[in-house]
Amino acid sequence: MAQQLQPLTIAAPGFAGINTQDSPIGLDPSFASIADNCVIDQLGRVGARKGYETVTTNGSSVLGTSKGIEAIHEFIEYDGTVTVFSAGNNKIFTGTTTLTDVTPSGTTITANNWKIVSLADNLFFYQRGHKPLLYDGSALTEAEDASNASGTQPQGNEVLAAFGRLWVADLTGNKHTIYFSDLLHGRKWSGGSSGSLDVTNVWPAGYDEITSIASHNDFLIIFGKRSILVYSGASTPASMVLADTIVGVGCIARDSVKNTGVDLIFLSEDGVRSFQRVVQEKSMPMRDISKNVRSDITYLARLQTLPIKAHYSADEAFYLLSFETSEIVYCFDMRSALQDGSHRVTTWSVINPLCFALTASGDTYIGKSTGIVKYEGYLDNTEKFQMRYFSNPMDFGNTSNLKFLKKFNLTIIGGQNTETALNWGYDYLSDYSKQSFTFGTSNIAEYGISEYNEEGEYSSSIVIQTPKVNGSGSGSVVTFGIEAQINNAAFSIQKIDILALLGRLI
Amino acid sequence: MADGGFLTDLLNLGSNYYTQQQGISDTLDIGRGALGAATEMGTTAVGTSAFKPFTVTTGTGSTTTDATGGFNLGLTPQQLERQKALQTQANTLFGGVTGDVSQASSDLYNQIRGLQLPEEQRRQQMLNQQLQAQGRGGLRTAQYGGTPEQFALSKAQEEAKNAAAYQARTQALGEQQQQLGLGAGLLGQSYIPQQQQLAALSAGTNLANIANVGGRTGAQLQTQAGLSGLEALLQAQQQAGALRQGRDQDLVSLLLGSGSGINATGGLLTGGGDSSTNSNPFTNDSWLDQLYDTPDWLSSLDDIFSSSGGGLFGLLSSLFGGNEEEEEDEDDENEEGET
Repeated sequence: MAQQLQPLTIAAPGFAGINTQDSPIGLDPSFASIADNCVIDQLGRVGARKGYETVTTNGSSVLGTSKGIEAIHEFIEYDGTVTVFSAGNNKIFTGTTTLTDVTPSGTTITANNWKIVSLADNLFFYQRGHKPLLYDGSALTEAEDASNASGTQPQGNEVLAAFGRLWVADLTGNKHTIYFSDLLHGRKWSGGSSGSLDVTNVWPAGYDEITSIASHNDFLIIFGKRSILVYSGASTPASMVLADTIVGVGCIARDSVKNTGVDLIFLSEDGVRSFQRVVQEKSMPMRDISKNVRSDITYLARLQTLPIKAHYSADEAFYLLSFETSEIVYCFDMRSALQDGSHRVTTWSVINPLCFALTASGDTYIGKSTGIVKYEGYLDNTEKFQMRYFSNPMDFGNTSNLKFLKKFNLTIIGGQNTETALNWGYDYLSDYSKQSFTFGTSNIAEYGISEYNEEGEYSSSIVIQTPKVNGSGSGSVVTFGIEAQINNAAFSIQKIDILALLGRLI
Repeated sequence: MADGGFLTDLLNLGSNYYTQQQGISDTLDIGRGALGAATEMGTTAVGTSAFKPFTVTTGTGSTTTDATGGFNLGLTPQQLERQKALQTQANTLFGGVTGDVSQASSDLYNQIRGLQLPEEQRRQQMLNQQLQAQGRGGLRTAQYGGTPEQFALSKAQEEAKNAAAYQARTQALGEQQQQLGLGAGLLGQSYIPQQQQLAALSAGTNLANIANVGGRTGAQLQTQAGLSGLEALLQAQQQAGALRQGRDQDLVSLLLGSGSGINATGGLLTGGGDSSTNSNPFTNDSWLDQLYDTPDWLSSLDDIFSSSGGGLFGLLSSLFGGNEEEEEDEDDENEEGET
């Protein structure tokens, strides 16, 4: 007597992101083992990331053989003038489409790891071993040459504009002192309310080195590599007080620190961490955002010889952490945390960003070898890119029976003209059985766009693909995945229904 | 008679001159006598009222006076030793007064700071601990140098130093003032025995005055009595001189007559009586001469009249030439007046 097929429905597979930390057996099917070039979309599904479009047209001429654009910052002046500054090829540029070299004459620049902040209608550029640069709305100069400049301009690698002044740390030969400028005068480092804070003897667990500074929840947060100092009252530096210390957790990458508005995210030796917003309480509980990929993160972090960059986009609701040396980006969904406090994480490959920048309009600029590119569309420049999703090995709650996968019913959102391959395999092996298919073309209704005398686009606003694939083979645990060549169309995995036949006990 | 009247007038003139000359001589003699007596009385009074040195002896020493009015305050060896000791102590104190006030201030300042430092160190340690606990030990600001608390503490310390410096200065000056007072007191004390000696000298002087007043009063009384006697002697000699002049005039009148004209009366030698009996009763060594002590010229007047011619000229010569001794006296008088 033939057995009845068992329907195994996996709704929103992988929406919990990658999990490489827990035993795959018994894992919630919402976790994925691979989610490359994926994001968690607004509906909580695993979907393809966006691609990028090249903005710069003269990148090759101004960047030469350099790595490319390694720092980008959008500066908005009090009068509303918007200027995008970028750094690459040991030069400073303005503009996005056409990069204009505005490097101050006579200034020697040997690196492009600038950190750029604005304060009081001025834009400041800092990196270790370099004279700070200042743009006051008219020209980019060395800060010490600017009018009203005073004192020794600290050549720090880290700068923070907060509490009405600049805070600079991580100088060559001095990684234990924070210098703060006069109030609202980022170029004045003597007199007024300027000063410094030597935290050599403040570290709670022995000497540490300042890697980054941040402000959050009215606290000044000083990151060491293994410790964190939290100061209150930094609005009046002379009377600021150590409010809290965190031992064993620090920040290992200057540019990994990002404010999300309600949280502060940074990369520590053991993964991506965050302070939860605390309004009333003085304690600063911490969350381990990258808990599900902790080993991967820590391993990669140690491999990095090039700067680690990060980016937070409220519009995209992600926190990107780029390991340039390893050419991989981890994307953390910041919409909500999982029950254990971790965030859904996916990875990006191929894109290889050198830096990120968020504009006031919500756009994400990415620095690449070709110049400035914009995170949008579903092509990497003009190229298709591959999105991969693979589940963890699943036994569907029945560890002792053979499973015969008979049929896959996929529900894909988007995916027009996308070459897709469904992969499945058994018993932890990677020799997947594959079934490829290509979704057809379908136009999406474009609301608000009049297209009289054009081909009518009166279809649904959402393209839903429901391919059906016959399975084969058997095993006790099942792994399946989808590989899609993203071709200028969104691609989200809504649901996978598997019809399986349970076999004998093994 | 005409010749006899002229001679009589001439004799009268001479007799008058003579008696007046005798009066002058007597008056000069009286003055000389009074001068000598007065000089002798002054000398006696000076000798009687002269200061007689005396000595006052007390428990602190003996004070001796000398004839010139000076005195010597002599202290006993014990008092001298005590005085020297007090003055030595006073000198020591005065040395402090004139000493370097800056050094004294510095010493006092160090003492005051020595008292303040432990508390300041405790506060500094507390602040350091507080700043360390607050993670602010390494805070340096352009406003305060360090933290506001460090600035406040440093300010308080500096103010304490200033106050200590001011206090030390004031105290040093006060101590100098005190040393000056003590030195002056000791110095004053060292002279107390001499003051006591002076007081005793004053008391002794009063006692000496009692003895001296008697002598001075005696000398004064003696002088007053001598002056009274001298005045009485002068008056008596003046009266005696007047009487002598009257007597001589009477004798002249008796011998030469008096009056003129119808009132003319002849004398014994000018025919006023019996010519046989016209002789001088005042001849030398006659009993009248011895009784009246008549002048020589008068007692020899009889010889003049008895030898006519030459006798008259001798008489005139006697009258106008005068006695050589008297002329010498007059010359002496003139010389003294000129001198």
